[in-house]
Amino acid sequence: MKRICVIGDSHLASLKVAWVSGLAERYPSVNLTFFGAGGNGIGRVVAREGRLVTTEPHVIHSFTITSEVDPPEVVLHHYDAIFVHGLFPMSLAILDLLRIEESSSRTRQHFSSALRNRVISHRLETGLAGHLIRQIRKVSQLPVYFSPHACFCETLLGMVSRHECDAFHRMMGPLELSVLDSIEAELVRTISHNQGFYLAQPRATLTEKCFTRAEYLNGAVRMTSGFSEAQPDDDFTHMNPQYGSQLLEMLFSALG
Amino acid sequence: MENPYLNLPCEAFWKTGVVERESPEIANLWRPKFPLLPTEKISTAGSCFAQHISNALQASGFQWFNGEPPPLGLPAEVQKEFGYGVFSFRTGNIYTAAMLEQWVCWARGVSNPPDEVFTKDGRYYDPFRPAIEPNGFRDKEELFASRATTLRSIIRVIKASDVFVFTFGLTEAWCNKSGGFVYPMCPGTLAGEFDPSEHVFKNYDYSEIYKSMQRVMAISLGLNPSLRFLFTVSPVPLTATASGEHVLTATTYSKSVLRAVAGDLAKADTVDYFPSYEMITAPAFRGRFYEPNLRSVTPEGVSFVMSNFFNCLSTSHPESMAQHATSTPRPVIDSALLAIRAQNDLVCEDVLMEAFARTN
Repeated sequence: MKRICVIGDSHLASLKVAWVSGLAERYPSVNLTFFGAGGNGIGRVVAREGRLVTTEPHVIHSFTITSEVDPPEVVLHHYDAIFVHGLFPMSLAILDLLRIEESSSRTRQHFSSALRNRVISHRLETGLAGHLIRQIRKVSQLPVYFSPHACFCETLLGMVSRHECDAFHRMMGPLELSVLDSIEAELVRTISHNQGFYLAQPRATLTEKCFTRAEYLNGAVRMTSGFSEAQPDDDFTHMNPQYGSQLLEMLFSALG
Repeated sequence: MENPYLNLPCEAFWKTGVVERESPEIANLWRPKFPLLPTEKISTAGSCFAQHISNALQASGFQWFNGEPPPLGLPAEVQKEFGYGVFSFRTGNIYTAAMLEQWVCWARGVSNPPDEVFTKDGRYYDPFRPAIEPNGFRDKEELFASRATTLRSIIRVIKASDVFVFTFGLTEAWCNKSGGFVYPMCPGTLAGEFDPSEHVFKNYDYSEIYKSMQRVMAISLGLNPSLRFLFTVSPVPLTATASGEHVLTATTYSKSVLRAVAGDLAKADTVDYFPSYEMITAPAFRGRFYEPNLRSVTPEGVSFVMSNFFNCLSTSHPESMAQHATSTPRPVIDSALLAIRAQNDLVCEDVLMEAFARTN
């Protein structure tokens, strides 16, 4: 039996629902325990005596709902591996590196690969994912796997107002998957520097313009409501259990 | 007996204007020709010392225009390491008027940059911005794409700015004999390899520098007819000279020529000269504003210069400071000090020349 702790933010919902609604039966030799905290909650989690704990009431509450463990703490030696999910907004990282020089033009400001790598590694290390991985590493050498938020859903393009949409298209339009590849290469490097493993967004879930395909948005649920309430119609960041299922299968494959 | 000196103010006389005053009280060294309004965009470029001006302008609530901003989420120290936020565009230090002219001509398409690149350990360095990427570029394409961004930024800055502040640094430079272009640093110092058959020393004289600046101003005004210019001369002595002269006399030559050019350019109504050079180097200040290396300017010296800058501006053009005072309650001198304390080391490529100094 492989015991895996899955810890992350609200994006964890797609994994949990995928797991309880079918994957758990298909993988009887795997046991997953989920610890989710929405928003910046993971930032209030610290390592103490072999555990990941928090004193923040809303994080305690969220850990209780998502893990059904009492007390709601991550006792690291109870697991064989940790899967950190979310906590890194990939599309925002891409957008930060795609500045258009002038509002009327399509010309992008060029940033060197070295600079882009510095931006990405800095964002990761100073963000919630970096915080959590550092906390884990303070008390444990367990294998840590990490996957960021899915890229924004392509439905975003139809949601923004026409004016914003023009700017957005100018910025994202010529985007190719190679940009995502280069960002992910730096994430791989940064994560491996922390003795971790990076799991890329499954390429089958992506359009050629680095958006998540619309079919992975329908049916997404909210973690904070106990996985029973649908994400609002205007959400374009949280994916559905079909997405979670693909990601977990990648994890299981990586675990061997 | 009547003569023109009888009714001059005390600051017109060395004894009353300088000797009989404690140095901090020496005032009215600058009478700004034009205001710097809170709504106006001010851009900066030049030698290492020019970075103090951009820092102080930002700290005092002026609209310092950054035409080539860094990506979001980049910490300040990394921005500086990669040459962002140092000047209004990412050229690195521009020590000579010829270098400024070259950048502006390339940006405007008057001439084209050569395809020369420097290489080291498999990385590519821009001969004209050798320190802009701390470990060089991945390949030539990336180097040229990055430079193209900077060239577009220069045009954007010129078009959008109300005032362009340029600090003259040096008269000495190294040029490419066959290509006719000028380098910011001698090849073989920071990057590249020195080739005595190609790389020639040039010590620009008054007329050459004046002509370069006239060309810069003409091209700039062609893009932005209402642009005003504010020139300063860096008080930082040369790190090294290749002129064959003693570095002290070479410094005097260099600074004297630059000071003369800046002063003469400032005869135009839309051009002004700010005497940062005098505020540090004049005998009245007894060298007190220099660090022990007698080259770097102390934080107190920078603060003295910049507080004079703002005080003179406030005296001559109260409208420059009035709105800043409401939005920035700190005294101006505090703002300048804050700016200095907030920064770490300036980005000064030329100081690397010290590494080549023999100890005997």
